[in-house]
Amino acid sequence: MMHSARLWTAFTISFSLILLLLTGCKTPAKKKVEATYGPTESVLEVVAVLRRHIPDDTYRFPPATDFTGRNVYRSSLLRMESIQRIHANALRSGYMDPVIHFSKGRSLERLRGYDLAALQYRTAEDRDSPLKDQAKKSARVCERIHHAVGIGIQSVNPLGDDANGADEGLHQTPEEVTQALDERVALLSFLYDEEEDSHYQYVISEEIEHADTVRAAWFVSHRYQIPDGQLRALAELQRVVQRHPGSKNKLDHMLQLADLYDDLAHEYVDAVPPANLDFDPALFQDLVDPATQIYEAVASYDGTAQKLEASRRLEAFLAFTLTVDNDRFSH
Amino acid sequence: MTDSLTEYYARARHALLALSLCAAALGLSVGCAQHVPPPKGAVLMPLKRPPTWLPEPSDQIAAKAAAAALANNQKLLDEQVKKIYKVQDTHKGEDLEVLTQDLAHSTLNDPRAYRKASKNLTSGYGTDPAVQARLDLAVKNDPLALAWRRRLDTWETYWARTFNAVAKTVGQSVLSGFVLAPVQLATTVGHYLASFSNDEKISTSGRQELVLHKEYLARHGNAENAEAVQKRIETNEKRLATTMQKRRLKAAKAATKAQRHRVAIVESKRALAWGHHDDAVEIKESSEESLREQLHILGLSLVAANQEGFKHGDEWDVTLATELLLTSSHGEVLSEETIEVLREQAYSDGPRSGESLYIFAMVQEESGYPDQSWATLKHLALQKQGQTPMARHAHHLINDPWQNPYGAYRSMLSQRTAEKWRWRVLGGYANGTRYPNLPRPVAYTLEGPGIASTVATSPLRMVFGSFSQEPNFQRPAALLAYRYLGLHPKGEHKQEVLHWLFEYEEKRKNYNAALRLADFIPNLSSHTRKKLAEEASAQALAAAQRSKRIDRRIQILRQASKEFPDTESGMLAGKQVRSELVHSSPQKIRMTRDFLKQNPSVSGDSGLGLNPELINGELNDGELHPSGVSMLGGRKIQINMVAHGADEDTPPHKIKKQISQERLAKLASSLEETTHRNQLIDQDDSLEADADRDRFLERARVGLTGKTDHRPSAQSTYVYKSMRERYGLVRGRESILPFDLVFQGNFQDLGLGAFPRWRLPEETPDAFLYK
Repeated sequence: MMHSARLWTAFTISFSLILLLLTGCKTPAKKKVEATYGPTESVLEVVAVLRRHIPDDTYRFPPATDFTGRNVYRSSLLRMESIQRIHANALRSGYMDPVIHFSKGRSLERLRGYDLAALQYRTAEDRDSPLKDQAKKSARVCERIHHAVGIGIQSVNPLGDDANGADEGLHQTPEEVTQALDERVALLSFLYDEEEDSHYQYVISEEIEHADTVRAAWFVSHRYQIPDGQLRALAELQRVVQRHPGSKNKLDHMLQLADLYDDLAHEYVDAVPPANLDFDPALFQDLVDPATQIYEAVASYDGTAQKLEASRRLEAFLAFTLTVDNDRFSH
Repeated sequence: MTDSLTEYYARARHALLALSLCAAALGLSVGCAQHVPPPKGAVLMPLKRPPTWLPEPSDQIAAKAAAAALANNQKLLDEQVKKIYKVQDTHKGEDLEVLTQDLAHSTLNDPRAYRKASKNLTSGYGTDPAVQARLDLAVKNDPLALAWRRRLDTWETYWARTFNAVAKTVGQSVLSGFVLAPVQLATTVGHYLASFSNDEKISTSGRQELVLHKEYLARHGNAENAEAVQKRIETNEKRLATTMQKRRLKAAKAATKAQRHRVAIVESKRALAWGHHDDAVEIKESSEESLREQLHILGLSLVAANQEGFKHGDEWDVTLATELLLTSSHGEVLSEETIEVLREQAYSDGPRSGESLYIFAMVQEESGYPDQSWATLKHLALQKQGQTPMARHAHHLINDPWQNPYGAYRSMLSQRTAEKWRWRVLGGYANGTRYPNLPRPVAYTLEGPGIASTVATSPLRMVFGSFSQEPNFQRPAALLAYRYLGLHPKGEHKQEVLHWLFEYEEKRKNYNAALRLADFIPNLSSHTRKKLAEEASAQALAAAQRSKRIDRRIQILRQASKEFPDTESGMLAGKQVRSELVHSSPQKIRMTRDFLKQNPSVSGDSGLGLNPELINGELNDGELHPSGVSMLGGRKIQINMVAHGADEDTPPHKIKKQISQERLAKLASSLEETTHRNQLIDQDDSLEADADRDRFLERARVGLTGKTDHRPSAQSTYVYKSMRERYGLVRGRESILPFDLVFQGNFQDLGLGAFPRWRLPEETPDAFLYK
């Protein structure tokens, strides 16, 4: 009996040792899943993802996204900041500093944060690394872009605290506005030519496009204050569409143009109701036709969010024109 | 007995010894993995100053490689990659080589070359799952391969249809002993062929293929296969144009049929935008002609000079017109004398009969006899247009739902009731056959057996259907009923309409609306009213609980407590308002206990620094409540503990703490990195989009939470849950078989059978952008 008890004890001890071994040594698969990167691997992973998208043409194509669907430049910037926090102790020695600052610079310049990007490049430039020359050059380019985009009117956040005061174009004449923006575009164009075969050409193209849209937006928002404002606003929006046919924002530009026709049609009907004797069906038709055509054209682009936007707006617009029709028979 | 007792004690001793050894072994194993337990009672561990860390050669080489990659220095990069494979030190993780290799690949400017290199890199054994998943995604993100996948989807759809038709026929024939095989075969073949009539020239997956091919050409215009891709694009573009033109033409034809010429013109123009089409041109021209004709006729109605046949005016007409205008402002009734003359003229065959009838109907309406007035107008409307021009005015009044809301309500009620019964009897066939593009006789011949069996089984459906929700057929009638009450609040049919609306709202469980109506229904029992008030307040409470924004939630609760103070739910709503205000916080981002257990990097030293004893499953040394830890905004957190002497099912004991900026930044960073990695490794472990959560964490990471954002719209109530909490013990997995096994019996083709049914390819999440 005692013998069997000893055997049982021995079995229990062996079992416990096996259990200890099992708990002590994880399976490779489990270990892999639980593995967390050290500081070097973490930075390397972010840099690899970012580096792949640095030469991307973000003027023609939408910026790449990571697997979570976030803008890859924004995601890289945020992850780099997280890594700096998590591995603060390890990164304190500074061996990765040039890489981190340079990567942040590359991310920020694609997020229109040129001044911040220049700061990051300048910090990277101060360290001795293979990135020194590139950082110096990139800092200079970013500073020049930052200087250029500061010329002329800026887009105003309509919900910002200083929305009223910030509209510096409020008391400017159309000539003053266009002159300043032309200067901005000219500076950017010079830089574009200088940066041949570099990713900065795409960044600069985006800024030129931005200047053109800001200019058109100014004419749209001031169309009641300037002579021939409605025509000028339409012309400016058409100019954006024509100047940027290869842009990723082409459909947005077309939608903005269609929206202005749509707004004008609504404003016309508000001012001169269809039952009013002054209502001019031909004039109304001149607004309806282009709006319908442009909405229809945008709605035919499969795979884009603008397709849905345009098709729904077209439906809404057609419904509006049908209500107007009821009173038009008198003409 | 003694022997047996001794033996028993000996066994017990041995068992105890074994158990203590087990416990020691377990303690040893756990002790290896954990740090020394913190002082008892501390909820959060003090932040530790980590030991000095100096970069080793592998770190230096990797940093140089990263710099070389960013600086486009290929030679230096290649050198560093070689060095990485050779160097060995304590810092070198086993994934450093593959990560450096991937870094080198990322400098390849052609995405196709990168995908090829990544494919080779992932084929090795033991790649880290995160890197593997990331590279797999990159390899899969090939427009050409995706286009091919979508093309396969199109083919698979046709294959599934063919396979299912054959399998179903065979399966049913086998079970019926091949007695009904000829009938089943004929039915299946017929439906199989007819199903192609519903196909468009290009399917959704075909449109996706087209867009992907276009993207490929836009990115790689000079690729060697560009010509072949361009040809495929041209073929699909033609198909797309045909499809879209067909759709627009269908809409244009429907509009023409409904005499909506303006719509027909617009739709035909939209069809023509996709290219020339004779039918579209014809519809456009004929609709424009019809519209012109319609406008001409309408224009004539305004030309008084053309009414040659109705020249009969005299002094009495002038007097009548004057009286009508004079009495119009205050709604006065015409004089007795005028009414008498009108009545006489109205029902004679004289020249003024039409006008008199019309005015007489108006007098009836104004005198409080609306039904008689509508009867007079109906009588007038029946007259021919040539007899009196007033017939069309009467006709318009009767058919205008704004002028005659009660008539419109009654007419809509019977129309929709008929529709409901049609639906109940004919089921899915109520709106026609499944093959609208086939000639009607062919479609109905094919669907004949189906329609017959649907009609035959309608009593069964009605019995079982009474337990389920029917479509809301009477919605338009309800709209007209409300319009009637709005236009005629003291109308003759007020009570009838109110009762109908009350029943309608009660039936569709809109108790709030029913309660409003109940206030206008006399003699409604107080019991019914009380019951309605309870239901309405419970509905408001449920609506408040569904609302994620605190301000809206409080608004609904407050409204419920004010409106229904004497109901249970109303009182509960009042208490909840108080509770919401007391426990409100700018943020409510929560991590459950299981999530913290599952992700030690978040709960441990690199994150929150939670005392490990709180998540060790032992209640006696203090345990975190399953609801876990919440971030309340700013630097405040709430730690939910299992209350002393209570269990996990009881509400938690809440401890609120203000943590340091450093700890918050670490928590936010570890949360971000851990969930990022989890998502990469396990696609089921995805984070739902929540911009407010992301914004808070971004700001927390860089120390910008000092100024608390109190806007309700900035509050996130996101809950980080463990996989078990999200999916239960066993996650539902899709079968690896491409088909389901189906056992089916129906009256349509008198079939009973068991057969495999091929699953249709699943639509991609962005398929709605290609419809």
